[in-house]
Amino acid sequence: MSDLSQSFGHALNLLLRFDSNLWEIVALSFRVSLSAVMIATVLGLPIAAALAIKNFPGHGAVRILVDTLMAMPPVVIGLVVYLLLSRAGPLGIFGLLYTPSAMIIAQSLLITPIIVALGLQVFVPLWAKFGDQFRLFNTTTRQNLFTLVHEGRHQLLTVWLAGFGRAIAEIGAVMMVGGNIDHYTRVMTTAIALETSKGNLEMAMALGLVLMLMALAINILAHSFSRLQQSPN
Amino acid sequence: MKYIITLLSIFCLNATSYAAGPLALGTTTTLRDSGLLEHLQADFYATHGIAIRSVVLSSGQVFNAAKRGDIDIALTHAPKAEQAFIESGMGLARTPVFYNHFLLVGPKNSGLKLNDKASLSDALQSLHEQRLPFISRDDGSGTQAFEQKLLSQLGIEPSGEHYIKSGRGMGPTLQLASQLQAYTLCDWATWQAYQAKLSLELIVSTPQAKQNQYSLVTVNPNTSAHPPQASAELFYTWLTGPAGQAAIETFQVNGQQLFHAGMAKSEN
Repeated sequence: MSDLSQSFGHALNLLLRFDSNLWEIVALSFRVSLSAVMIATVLGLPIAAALAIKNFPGHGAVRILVDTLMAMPPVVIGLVVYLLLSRAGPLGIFGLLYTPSAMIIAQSLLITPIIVALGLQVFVPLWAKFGDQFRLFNTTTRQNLFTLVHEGRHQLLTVWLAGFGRAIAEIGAVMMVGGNIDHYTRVMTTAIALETSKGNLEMAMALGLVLMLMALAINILAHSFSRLQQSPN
Repeated sequence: MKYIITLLSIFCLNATSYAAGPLALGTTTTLRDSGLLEHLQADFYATHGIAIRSVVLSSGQVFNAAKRGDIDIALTHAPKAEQAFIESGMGLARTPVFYNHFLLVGPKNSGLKLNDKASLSDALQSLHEQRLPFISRDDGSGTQAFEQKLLSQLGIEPSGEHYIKSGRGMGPTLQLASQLQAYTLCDWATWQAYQAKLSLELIVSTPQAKQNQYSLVTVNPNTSAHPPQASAELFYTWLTGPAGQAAIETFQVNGQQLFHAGMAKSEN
């Protein structure tokens, strides 16, 4: 118990002193995971909407594929991205392995299926509700997409948070494609693993607490934002 | 179209130019965990203004990454793997740059009875005969290669419950040994960095044996998937020259010198 309370004190101390090493790691974690969740949203929501709106051959197969990809372990994604981005791989000329960009690519691939699958859950009931009206007014696909996203924005916030949570808590992929390089590709999870392996359990726990506090802050922000928007209704 | 631009712009916000970026050094956990890596990086930066990005892997993984063109130069302690890398044509030159020695560590009040002049080899043999718990790294590291060399010289093929494979780096393996009260081979530098946090003690230490040789291995630009940065040569010249060698000699932790510059004469 004393270990835990000591770590908590240590964590607060590090945060309040604005320890530059710690903030650098926190900032990179956010940069990588926020970028990944943005890319995954831009990629994933149209796919989810298309799956909700259109019935095409292979529709069921695509849904099964998306659900399966949701279960893909981060290390496997990491391995695939590693092989793609390595100098000997097909995208090797860009020299992206062991860079923050590689970490963003890996995390985007990791959470796009989550955004698609959860986004689908939001869009299907909305389409059931508005589908007839869309057909009646003969709206374009793009108008449909914007209407669906607008109507589902509160639930989509939860989808987005789920994706972000998955990305920022993930270690397998970023460790493999980022390499945990000091001052360059070290994020919170890889730093926690490193400090634990060095036996600096207090520091590791402090980093873990920072991660939790940050997650708490984001959720409070997101929920109060969502409530603010809902209140006039 | 707008869609693609959005995607690209998110990506470009994060991209910087890597064309003539810092030097990618492939190296091992023992050098990071002892603090030497940071010391060398800072010294090299102060002299040449070139940043080093160290990718820390086991020695086996380092050469794999070098083959794929993902690192510019390797600093490892696995002579056999280093020689194989050079013989395959992928590596250009191997220069021994510094050394220390291996130790056997184990539980306090160890049940292992050894005479004062026992070597690591003798100790491993006794451990095996008494079937005492021993943790092998089993991660393709230089330390594991050394263990395999001793065992094959002894003609021992270990198996059974007392032979535990951790599959992890030196630090985590030491912690595992401490928790399980088992024996393991360790290098002098990592032991110095970790011993205060462990309930283990030194069983056999033979500094005069100087078995743990670290070497700098350059990558052949003609056979690699990507030619190494020009700064790799600069790092090579620096670390093998007087300034780099002095940086190694002067590196201390808690008043203890962890590495000795140059080549151990006993290297084989």
